Amino acid sequence: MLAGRVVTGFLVVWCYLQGGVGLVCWWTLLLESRHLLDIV
Amino acid sequence: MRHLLQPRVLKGASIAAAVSAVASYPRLVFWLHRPAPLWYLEATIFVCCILLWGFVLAWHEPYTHRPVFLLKLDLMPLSIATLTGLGTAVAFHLWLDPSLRSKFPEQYPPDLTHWLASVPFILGFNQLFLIFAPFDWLMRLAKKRWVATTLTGLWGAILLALKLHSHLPCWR
Repeated sequence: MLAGRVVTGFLVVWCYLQGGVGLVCWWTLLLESRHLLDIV
Repeated sequence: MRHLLQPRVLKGASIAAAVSAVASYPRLVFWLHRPAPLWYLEATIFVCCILLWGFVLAWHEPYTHRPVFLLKLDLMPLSIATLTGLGTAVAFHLWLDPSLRSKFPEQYPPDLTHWLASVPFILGFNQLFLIFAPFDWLMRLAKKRWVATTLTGLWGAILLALKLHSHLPCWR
């Protein structure tokens, strides 16, 4: 669980450096969309 | 510090903090056991976000030589972010969510309304607190990307560990 958190942290920092805040928001939106599988 | 105190930075940080505070509002409304009144929580988020956005707007560009906001994204980073975002979402759904849901059920939206309330909070505050501000603060401190990236990744893990620890049953 903690290793997963570290890896996602690295991924988000990479997105931040490559595409700024906008790319991180897009990446986060995709990640959070997984909840829709349970809700809808 | 000279970057942080520029009027341009303070003005931008105040506007961004106001956006973060507004984005956090729906999530705070749904918080059942709020420890303080809603206006107080909103004001706290606003003031804290001025500082956090200040770190970002003051130090990101000078120390990473990359813009904070990009209007036009290149296809390659967008494709990689999309693929890794979808892959991470699937991995979380299959392996991490079942155990995390049992520990923190209140953090999983039960319906679409709660999901719509939580997403702006996560976009407007969570990533600022977990990634943007710590990374730029560490960049200013260490001036090395690998140091800032490693410590930012660890910062998220430390917070998760503290959260897990605080949810352990108390035996005494």
